Amino acid sequence: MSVTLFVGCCLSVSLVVGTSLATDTIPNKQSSIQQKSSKHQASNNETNVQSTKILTRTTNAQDANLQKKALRIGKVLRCPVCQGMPIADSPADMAQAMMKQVFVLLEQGKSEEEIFAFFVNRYGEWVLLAPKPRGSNLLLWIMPVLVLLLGGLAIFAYVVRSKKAPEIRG
Amino acid sequence: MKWKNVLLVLLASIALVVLLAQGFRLNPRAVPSVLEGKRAPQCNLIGLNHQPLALTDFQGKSLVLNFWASWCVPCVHEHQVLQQAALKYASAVQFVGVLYQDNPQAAQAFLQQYGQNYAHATDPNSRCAIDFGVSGVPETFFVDQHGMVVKKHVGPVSRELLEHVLDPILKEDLP
Repeated sequence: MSVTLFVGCCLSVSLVVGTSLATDTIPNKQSSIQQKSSKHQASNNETNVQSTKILTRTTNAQDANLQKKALRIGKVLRCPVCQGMPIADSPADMAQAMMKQVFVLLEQGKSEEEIFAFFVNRYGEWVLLAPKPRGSNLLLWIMPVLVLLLGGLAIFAYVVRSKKAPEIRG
Repeated sequence: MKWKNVLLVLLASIALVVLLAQGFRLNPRAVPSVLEGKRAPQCNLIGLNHQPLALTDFQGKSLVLNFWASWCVPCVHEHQVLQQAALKYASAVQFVGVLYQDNPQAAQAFLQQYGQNYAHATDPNSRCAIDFGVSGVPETFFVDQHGMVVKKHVGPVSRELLEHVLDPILKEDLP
């Protein structure tokens, strides 16, 4: 029983370490307070229309490749307002403005890497939805596998022990 | 053996509590600034008087760049604090309000109601907000006279914070 408890605690601690590391990579200070009036909420609802406008602009230019590229990039960049969403899917005005900037940069002939660098230079690596697996970020990638392995091993050890126990008694 | 297990569980629990206490003190929505200590981006804004307003216009002066919106409730109180500070530091610090995701008419109405004693401008395509890595309002950037970003503050600024940040900058700026 105590072994199970111990395993449980280990798993919880590992999970919390993982979460705390993730939080370090993402945010660390007081956030902006975003209390919008109903008027602004209404303008937010129109962002899909803006998005369509941006997309139509490229469709009209028959540059499907540019549009595809922009959406691919937009799926990797984090919306600074909604945070859990990529800018390509976010209805927030700021995400739409960033999406527009992606189009501008693509039209200027910038590569995907250059566009990612553009946003990383302004928002930090936080803006990438999948942080690059290097430095302390590596822990984010290794931790889940490590936790799974440790948990599996602990369960295996517990099962083996509980199977052996009756034999000793007998 | 039993005591050993109890001790292990106790240690693990303490570690868990410490980590949670640390984690809960952080704001999960805040975006860290990579600009502090770096040169401030050069924004080309449009003043509410429809005249172009570039940050380079204020070269050689310390700058307080405040991103705000008329729909932002905390910005109302913050505006009063910034108004007073703009008067207090008028000789050495330029205050600039940059509209964030707002329309100029609403901003004009806001300023008529709450007063205006420093420059305010619109930000076409949110380009300045993107260059400063803004994620919401209010956000304030402090730039010294050499054009370096000294501090980014997320949330409404207080009089104490302005004094705390501006007074050392001004001391350094003295010849």
